[in-house]
Parts: sequence; C-alpha cells; structure tokens
Amino acid sequence: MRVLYVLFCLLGIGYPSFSQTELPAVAEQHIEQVVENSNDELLNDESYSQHLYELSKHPININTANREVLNELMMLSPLQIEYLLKYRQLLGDFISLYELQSVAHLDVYTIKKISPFITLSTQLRIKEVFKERMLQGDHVVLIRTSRVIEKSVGYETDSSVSSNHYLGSPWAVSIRYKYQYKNLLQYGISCDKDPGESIFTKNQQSGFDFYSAHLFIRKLGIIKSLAVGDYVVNLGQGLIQWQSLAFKKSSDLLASKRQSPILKPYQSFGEQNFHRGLGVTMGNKKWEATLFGSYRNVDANIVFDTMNVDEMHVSSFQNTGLHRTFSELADKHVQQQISFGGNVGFSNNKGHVGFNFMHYDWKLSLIKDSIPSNLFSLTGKTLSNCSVDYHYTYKNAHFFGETAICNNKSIATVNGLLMSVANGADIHFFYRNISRSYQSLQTNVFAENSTPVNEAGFFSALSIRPAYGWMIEAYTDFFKFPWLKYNVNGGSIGSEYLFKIIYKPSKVLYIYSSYKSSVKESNGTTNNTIELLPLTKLAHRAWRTQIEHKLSKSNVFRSRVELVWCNNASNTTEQGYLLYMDWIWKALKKPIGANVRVLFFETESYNSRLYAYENDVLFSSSIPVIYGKGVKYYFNVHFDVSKKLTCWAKWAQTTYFNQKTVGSGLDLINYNRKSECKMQVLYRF
Amino acid sequence: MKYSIAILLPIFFVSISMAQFNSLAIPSPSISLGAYSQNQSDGYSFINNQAALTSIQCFGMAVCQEKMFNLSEINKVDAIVAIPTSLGNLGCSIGRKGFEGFSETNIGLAYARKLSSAISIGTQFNYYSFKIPSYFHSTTMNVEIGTMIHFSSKLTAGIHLYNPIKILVSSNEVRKLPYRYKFGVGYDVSNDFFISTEIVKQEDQAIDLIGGMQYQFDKRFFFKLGFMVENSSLFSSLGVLYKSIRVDALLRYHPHLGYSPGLLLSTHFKRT
Repeated sequence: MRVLYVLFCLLGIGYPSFSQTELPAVAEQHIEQVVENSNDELLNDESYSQHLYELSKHPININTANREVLNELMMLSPLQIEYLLKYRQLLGDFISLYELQSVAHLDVYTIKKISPFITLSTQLRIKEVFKERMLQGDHVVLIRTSRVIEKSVGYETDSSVSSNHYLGSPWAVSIRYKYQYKNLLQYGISCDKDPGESIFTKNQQSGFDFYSAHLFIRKLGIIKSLAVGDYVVNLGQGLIQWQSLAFKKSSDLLASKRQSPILKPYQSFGEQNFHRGLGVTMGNKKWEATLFGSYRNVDANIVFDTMNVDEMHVSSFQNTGLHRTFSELADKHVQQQISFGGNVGFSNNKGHVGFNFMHYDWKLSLIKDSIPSNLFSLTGKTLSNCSVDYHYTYKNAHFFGETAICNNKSIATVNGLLMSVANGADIHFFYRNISRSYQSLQTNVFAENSTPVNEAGFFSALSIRPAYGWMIEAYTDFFKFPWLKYNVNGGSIGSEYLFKIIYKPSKVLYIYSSYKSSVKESNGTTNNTIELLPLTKLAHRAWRTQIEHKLSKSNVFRSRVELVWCNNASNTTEQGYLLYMDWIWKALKKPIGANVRVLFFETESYNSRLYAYENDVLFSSSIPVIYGKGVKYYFNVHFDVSKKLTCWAKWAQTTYFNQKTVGSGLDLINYNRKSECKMQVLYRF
Repeated sequence: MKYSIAILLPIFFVSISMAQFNSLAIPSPSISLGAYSQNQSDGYSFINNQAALTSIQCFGMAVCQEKMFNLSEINKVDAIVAIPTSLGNLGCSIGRKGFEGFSETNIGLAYARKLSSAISIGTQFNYYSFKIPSYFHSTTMNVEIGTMIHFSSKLTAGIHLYNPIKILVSSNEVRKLPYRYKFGVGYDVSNDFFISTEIVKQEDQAIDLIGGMQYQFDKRFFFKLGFMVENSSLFSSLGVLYKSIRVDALLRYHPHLGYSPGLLLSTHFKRT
C-alpha cells in the first residue's frame, strides 16, 4: 500500500534542484527581515548558508535524523518535526522521499523546500563512521577578496595632516580552511581583514586583524557534542544567550520559535558574537547537560577618568569588528571577558524542559552615560542570567517558551503557541513581557527591540492554503515599550501588520505580493531644545510584489517592485520605490553560471529606505540599504574549473542621479557612483 | 469619583467609540465575530450585520456584560433574542451602559430574510435614550441595513450601513449618532476554523480594519481572537458549551486604557 502511495505521490512532486550560489527563496526573505530589523547592511553570520551548502553536499538522512538535526535545518516547524518523528516511529523508515506527503502537516510546498537537503541513504555502522570521520571528510579552502573601487576620504587623507584616516588598503581579504565529515567532525581556521584595516604592519603585527579556529565533534558516546576553540551558544528561546542567526518577524511559523542545538561551531568572519574556549554536551536519550567556558578580549569604548588616568571604564561594547583607524584600534580587545554557563534538560516524545544559566565577568566596569533612557541599562562588571525553557506538544498544538531572571532580579518571559487548526491552516501566537530593567548580552529573542528589554507585546500569525498553489499569510503584532528608548522620550506603543498572498502553481512560476504596515511612536521635531513635545506616530507602509519565472532549465527571470510610504517626525509624508529585474542563468552540462540584476530606485530620504537581498558569492550575503535616486546593476559569475575548484566573481555599481557624493565621514566618496568587486575561490579536496 | 468619571466619559468615547453618543451602537467584535461565517454564526451575529440573522436555525437568546476598562461606572449590558420564522428571521436587542449619573439605553428590532440561496438582507430599527440627570435627556431612532452574499460554502462577504441618514440626538451637532459603513469578508477554512476581516469607515474617523479568527478546538470549547487596527486594541474570548448553554469569558485590551473583561451567556432551543 505504501509503495502504491509513493507512486501516486510521484505525480505531485517534481525533482528538486539547488544551485550552489542560491539560498531557498524563503531563507532569502528571512535574511532580508533580519537585516531590515537590525538596519545592518552586512550579515556577518555565514553559518546558515554554510550549513545549507554542506547539507546540499551531504544531505540529512531522514530515516535517522533526530529532532536536533531537523531543528538545525530551520525549514520545518516544531509541529512538522513532531509529526515526522511520530510517523517514522509508527510506520518505520521512509521508503521514498515522496512518502513525506503522507506525513500530517507536511505539505508539498515544505517538502519541495527541504528536498535538496534530505536523503534516505543507509546509516553507516559506528566503527566505519569513526574511521570515516578522520579520513573521508572534505577539506575546503576558501579565499575571498573584495573592495570598493572608488577611494573614499578615509584612504586619501594625508596622514601628516590628520590621524583620523584608514591605516590599511581598501581590499578586504578572508581566508578559511575547514575539514568536515558530515556533521560529526569539523575543524578549521579562518582569518579576515576588513577594508581599511592594515595587514602585517606595525599597527597589525599579528598579520590579519581577526583569527578564528575551531574543533567540533558530535556523537562520541555519551558526549553529544564537544567544542574546542570558537563556538556559539544558543539557550532556550534566546532570553539569556543566542549567538546564531535567528529569524525576525514573519508570517512563517518558523520565525518565532528559536530552534538550535546548544553548541555549534563558529565558522563566520564576524568578530564579536561567539565564545572562545571549551564546551561540552553530554546526555542520553532523555537527559542532557551542557557546560561551557570562554575567555576572550572584546572591543569596547574605553573612557579614561579625567581626574585620574589610571582609572578607566568602558561606556559600551563595540560590535562592528572594524579596526581601520587609530581610534578604532584603541578600542580593540580592551575588555577582558570571562563567560561560562550551561544547561540541564529533560526531553521525551512530547516535550522538553530545561534549566539554563549564563554568567559574564569583565575586567573593566561598564558605565553608561547618565541619561534617562540608560537608567536601567547594563552596568558594572558582572552579569548573570538564568532561565527555564520548555516546549510541549498536545495533539495539534505546540507550546513553547522561556522565563528568565537576571542578577538585578528583573524578569523576562516569552511564550508561544503553534497550532495546525485545519488541513492547510496554521495559526501562531507569541506573547512576550520583558522588564524595562532586564539585562542580557548576546541574546536574540523574537521581539520588536533588537535586544530583549523594555517590551511587552502580542504577535499572532495565520497561514492558510485555500487551494493548490495558493497561500495566504498574515500577521499582526501589538507592542509597547513602558520605558524611554533612544529618541523616544516616553513610554510608547506600536503595531505592525502584514498581509501576503503567494501563488505557486507549478515549479516554474512563483509570485507573491505583500502589504506591510507599521506604526511606532517617536519624538516630534522642535526648534526649542527645552520643549518636550508629545510623541509623534511614525507610520510606515510598504507594498511589495515579486515574480519569479523559470523559462527553461537554464534560465530564470525574477522581478520585484516595492513601494514605500512613510511619515517622518515632522509629520510630512515621504515615498520611495524600488524595481529590479534578475536573470539567473546556469549552463546545461557546462560548469558555468551567472546572474545579473538591474535595479532602479528612488526614495526621498533615508527614512523611506528599502532593502533587497542580492545574490553574492557563495556563503556571503548582501542586503544593501537602498535610498536616494539612482540605478544599480551587478553581475555574478561562477565557474567550476574542475570538480574540486570553483571560482566566483562579482561586479556591482550604483550610480546616484541627484547627488555628487556617496556616503559620509571617512567613507565619503567624491563621485556619484560606487563600484564594488568581489572574487572568491573555493577548493574542495 | 463618579462625577469625575462622567466628565472623562466623553474622552473615552472619543477614543474608543469615536463619537459622543454611539458607544452602544458599536457591537463588541468579540461577541459578533461570527457574522460572516456559515458554520459559526450565532444569535449575536446579527448585531454586526442583520443579514446574518438568516443563518439562525433555532430560537436563541443571550445576555452579555462587559466592564469596560474595568470601571463599573461604564458597565455595558446587552441582551438579544433571535427567532426563526417561516417569513424570515426576527431579532431583538436591548442594551444599557453607564450608571445613575449617565446612561445610554438602546432597543433594537431586526428582521432578515434570504432573497436567494446566496443573498441575504436584513434591517434593524433602533431606539436610543441618553440621560444625564438634571442636565440632559434625549431620545432618537435610527436604522441599520445589512446584506450578505455567500460566494461559496466557505466564502461570505457583506455590506452593513449604520445610520445612513444622519440623525442628531439633539439640535447640537456634537451630540449625534455617526454614520458608519462597513464591508466584511469571512472565510470558513474548515468546519472548526473561521477567519474574518472588516473595513469600517465611521464619520469623522480614519478607516479602521478589524480582523479576527474563531476556532472550535473541541466539541465543547471555542476560542476567538482579533484586533482593531485604528486603536491598536485586541479582543479575545474563550467559550464553553454544555448541552445547549454556552458561556464565553471575554477580554478586550487597549494599550492605554487597559483591560475590559466580560461574560456572555447564551442558549438556543432546537426545533422538535
């Protein structure tokens, strides 16, 4: 019967394909959301795209994968994982990937999404696995370099006139070596130099500005994972620690629940969000315990006491990882940080409960400026947090959450519910209530603020598939900030809505259109600096439509138009638009591919800015902030020189029509254009 | 205390009900959410759109009390009766809000019938009384008209006009019942799950959007949740059905004014 069902299902799913340089469309949209929320142009965390790349080379065995491995895929909701595991438990191994369609709550759309990354291959025996771990993995060497062609003010300033200039060349250089055997063993070393940073000079005597090394082993008897060197820690729902990439607001059910193993290897070029030391997770089928410790020097703004130069403190931590000028170098690694923490967890088929703790110790005291919005900010030399997290599945409902407390006894709680309410309909609720004085570091919770503090809110989302090929998604989020924030001189409220309709009738056509509206409160504008005005409502509305059409096996066309309306603090309305066209080409039976984009944009100011994910060289993500008036184009080529060697090259140029310069400060370019080139070589042996 | 609340009442009404004398006229979305559902419509649905009365199969009655913003001085009590007849369905509503220092009272009589299997219409005549002892007392009447189209067994849309002929409560322009136009759409995703959205335009106010969902997660348990965009408020209810008696615990939340708890008791009598 199952065989017949599988044959029947063959009609429903086409053969999937995954290009080496492209993330799945949903992942692209999630990353766009992450960047939009952080207002950060560069996504320093490459681990997600590296992970997907490794999975495309060594797919997950769906017959042996446990909950942790499926979580790490970041494409399946907790309910889908639960039902997949239950199905396997009741009916045994899958005999074909097409059989996945018979798993409750696993729709064709999701199966198509995950199919490049899963397989049914048989499991190796333990001895073979151990032997193969050491010998049968892949060695990967990656070399990447890039620069902006037009020299900015920072490079052209005469060093004898001003000390405020870039000390190094405009080239960015990143090198990584990694050995990996599936997800069981990996080790590697990375080094990185950002544009403007010097290399092998007296200012940078160690050569590159940043080095990172890691060794990570999984499944060594009772040791589930062992991390040596650089690693990241993800606890609970992100209230006390979350260093990996985490998605932000979206109607996708995956967005709000944080799902990840506690320890993961650090393999990005970002310089801040990781631990350096030792971590270990031990456990059996039901119990699990993790301990980790770290010692490293981190960047911070150092402040000397004007009365006594021996007395110093830091006013904030620096997260840019840039050390291009003397002043940036002065902040490099000035703060000694010792951190440790752990987790004890119990899991069974239906649920999980865990106790987590985290502690930071610094050499220099953290003292922030005495302004009202900083009244409850993190200060001092230590920070401790502990929390309890849980998830529980009852029928078609999945409950999850975390409640945390920090050393000033402030409490934060987040709780969510995912429900599959009908065939093809899912709902999702998420409540958070985080005290104004709750303190944490390197956290990432599903909330409006970028860090979990001073916020209460309720998020609800709906996803329905009313007919084949159609999907409707919507979410609403109501939130309030009881205490002052930067540029908000009072307690404030806000709301956000999204409505999205998706049409994907076949493998060759994908259309979506979304409307998003948000209202937040901010300070009004006044010429009188003493006058305190009531808060102004800042409204932002965006309508986006995207069409992707696969014309042939080698040609895909994609186009997006996005319109934005917003009002600023002086209550005038601004508009902006973006229009781009992509051509993605992959030669049939030839080792070459390319993609080209032409993008037109016009916004009245930075307030009406837009974001658009760009195809880049493998592992690198680029989501530039787009504002002003102009046109941008790029082309991106990759060529498989041999089975082991692949090369990428990217050229991008933005021309502004209504301005004579680009950028500001030391990044100011005295032309109306900005040209970038990037090259990458990957050797796999 | 009561007098100070009486002074503050107009402010509340401006923010919530958006005019001075119309707070009773606006149905609580948490109790009338099912108007555009073909599976989950109930006796209270006709408060939202009178054409929803046509989905009533048996005699039903309900009473609801809401303590708005947790202030007993603005308690709101409503009661309805829905009666199916061979000539069309009838409905009656009675409501009162306030305390001895200020009160609004409303009596409404509704009638609805099907024009075809796909189209229903309904209307309601209302009588209002507004009273502030020793200061102001006024009565007036107005009309509501609603229509619904069932595009399929799952999709229903409708239009509702409240007070289309502008009626003043007194000669003072401020004391008026505003007009309100509403377009609503409901989609029965399954027999147990329903979503609905309404676009509302009320006199002197920005266009509002109301969205909500209703889920019967067990034969005896119901859950509703929704939002109103313009004032960023949320509403929800949790219902329990025992034989023919249903009890719903209601909760509304406004970010500035706080919580409004309520209780709904309803019953229906099946035809023998």
